[in-house]
Amino acid sequence: MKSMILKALNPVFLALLVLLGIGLQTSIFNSYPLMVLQPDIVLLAVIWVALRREFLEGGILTLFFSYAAELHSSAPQGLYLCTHMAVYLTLRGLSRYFLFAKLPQYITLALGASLFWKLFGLLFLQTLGLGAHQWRHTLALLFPGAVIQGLAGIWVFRLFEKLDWMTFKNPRAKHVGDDDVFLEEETLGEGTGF
Amino acid sequence: MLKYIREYRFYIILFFFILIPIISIDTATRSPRTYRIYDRVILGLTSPVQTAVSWVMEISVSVFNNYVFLLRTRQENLAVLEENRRLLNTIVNLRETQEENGRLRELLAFKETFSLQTINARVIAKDVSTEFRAIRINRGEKDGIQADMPVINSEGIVGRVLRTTDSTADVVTLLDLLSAIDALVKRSRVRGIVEGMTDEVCHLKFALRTDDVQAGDLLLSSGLGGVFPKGLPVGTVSNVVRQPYGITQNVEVRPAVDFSKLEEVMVITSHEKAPVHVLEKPVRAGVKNKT
Repeated sequence: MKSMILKALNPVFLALLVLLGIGLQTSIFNSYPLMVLQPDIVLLAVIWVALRREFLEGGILTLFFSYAAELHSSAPQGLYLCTHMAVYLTLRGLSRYFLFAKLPQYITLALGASLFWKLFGLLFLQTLGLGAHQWRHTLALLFPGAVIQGLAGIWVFRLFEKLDWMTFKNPRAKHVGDDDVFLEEETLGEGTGF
Repeated sequence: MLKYIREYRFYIILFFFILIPIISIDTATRSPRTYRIYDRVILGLTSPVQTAVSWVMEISVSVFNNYVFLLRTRQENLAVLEENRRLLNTIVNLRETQEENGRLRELLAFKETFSLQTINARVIAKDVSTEFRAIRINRGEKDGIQADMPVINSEGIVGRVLRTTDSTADVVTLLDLLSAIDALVKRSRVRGIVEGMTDEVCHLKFALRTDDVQAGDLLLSSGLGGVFPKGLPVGTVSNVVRQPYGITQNVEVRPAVDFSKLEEVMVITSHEKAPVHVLEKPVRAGVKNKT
């Protein structure tokens, strides 16, 4: 029973975790030179739900994450919704043909998704007539940003994996009894590549 | 009917996942975005985190500065004492000049109408993306902050208030893509629109190729946008590229404000329509601070 409740609450916990991440990333990386090294937890969360959730659930979570990101940005309304949804649908498409199961694959995806997301966003801004002077800035931070995204992914994906285990969202966690909710570090992610 | 919905469930969901973002763009073009109730709930969860982290970081930096840097205090103290002696002499000379200036102003019947009411605020967060350059401050509606109020610091214009909640406000900085400030070159009175470009520089738009703009020129707010009072420093021209053809010239502007070290700002809650006369240091002189 407890496992069912926790599983049902998983999207809520994940949403809260992402909101906490947004709060941390926008305040810790507030000053120079840290501001250049800011990772994007929302993009990592979108990658996670694209590969680990049902199509409907993942899409709704993507819309929520993007909306929350827009509230913390001066970006034109709809920009993040469109760009994150593009990443989500692309990853869903890729996951039909490729198997992504281990952490290094997720990190590689994070690197690729970061590049795709920034370039798609730039194209979008160009369409809205706002991207004329943005090219230089985006291109300068394109690859460093991707590397930071990949590095952040090492910890963030593990955190998401941990949450899925604790809330029984991960199918492998089902064997754990209702009374043993909090898993040992050693058993956590065992056999999943994380 | 249900059978078809089940059969085409995937395509129906996909359709809505594509439609919802597109609709949100459409609505954005029709009405300006302000925070709704559910937005405030989300921000109510992240704002305390931002405030707390910002406070912890400020305390950490303060501890570091106050204790670790004490090692060099003695040398700095001696240097400051020497500087103090020199400045005292300067002050005496300046007092004489000030009195003379006052007398001349009275003679010219010059009435200084510069009056700003400001609220001090602390920067608690920056934009979620590195592509945009908004900041969040720890003052909101309950402090009297409203959208489109100008935000400055002792160096010049920081930006304008975009949206507010009860306790926070989002500020679009001068560097942001969405920022546009009507400015004029102090020396030649050439006008243009300063728009954000990168993390460090802005772009002066609509400066004609024949206009007299040179590197090092100071740009001031023209007061025409209705947001900023006239005469506040916007930035300095850092680069001018004039092509042999075309209508306009490419003018890069380095903001007067050092955004990499921006910690405290002032929100102008009300100001007289008359221009600001103190051009180099507009804020410190004559500001009525309502903290």
